[in-house]
Amino acid sequence: MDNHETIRKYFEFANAGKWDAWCDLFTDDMVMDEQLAGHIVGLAALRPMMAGMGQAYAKFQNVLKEIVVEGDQGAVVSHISALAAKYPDQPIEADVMNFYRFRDGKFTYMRNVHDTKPFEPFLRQISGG
Amino acid sequence: MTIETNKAILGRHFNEVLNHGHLEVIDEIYSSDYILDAPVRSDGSSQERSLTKGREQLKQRVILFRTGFPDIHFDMDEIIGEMDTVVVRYTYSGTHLGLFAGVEPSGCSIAIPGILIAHLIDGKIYEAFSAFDSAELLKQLAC
Repeated sequence: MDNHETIRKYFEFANAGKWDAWCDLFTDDMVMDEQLAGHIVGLAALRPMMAGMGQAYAKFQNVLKEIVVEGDQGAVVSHISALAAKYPDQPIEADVMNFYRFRDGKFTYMRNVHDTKPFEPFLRQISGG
Repeated sequence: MTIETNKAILGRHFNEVLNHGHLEVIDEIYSSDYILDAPVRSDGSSQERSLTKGREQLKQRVILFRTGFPDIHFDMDEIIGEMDTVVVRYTYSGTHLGLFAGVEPSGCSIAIPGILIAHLIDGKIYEAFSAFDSAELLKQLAC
């Protein structure tokens, strides 16, 4: 799988709620700096975190808008439309950018950047509010 | 223009414009109808996302950040390009010594990661989208 295809699968699996297949796109020694989840090291740590996505959101769609790939680095612009499970009447709309590094067609590093303000309903949910 | 030439133009944006405040460089490397979509309004009135339109508004935006953080420095952590598009993963840091987005100087040090995607034509940047967490920026101003 080339790096463009890996990125397309990232969005295809996320939007289908196939979070285990989504995790398979990452190397075992992956590192992720995720805006909301923080610094994640290793696929063994990532997989159980993503297993809860289906319960955390009543709706989660991440629409790919643009891909840039050069060698084993890449980036995307996307737009997330989501509803936190506990607050389905408070839409989350956010433009997002991701930066990736690849090894053998898999993600070995990802940084995700966006404003946290649109995710306030989700943050309230996970803080017990 | 080659990808490497376009990367060099982004290098001038970060080093000459943002890090050293050479506003005249904006006239060289930006198209007159430039549009930037980024957090923090360029008039400094709010932290909300907004559009910066044209070279003069961009100059105002650079002044806003360099007034709030006189020692502001952008590190270009990674840069890639494809066709006429360049992406920069960056981190900016500085000390809050001036009025910024309605917040009085706090003396707080800030460090904010971000990603910028820029589209170029004929050696000029005509459109860009910059992502960073403005809520984290405001949080760091309250150290």
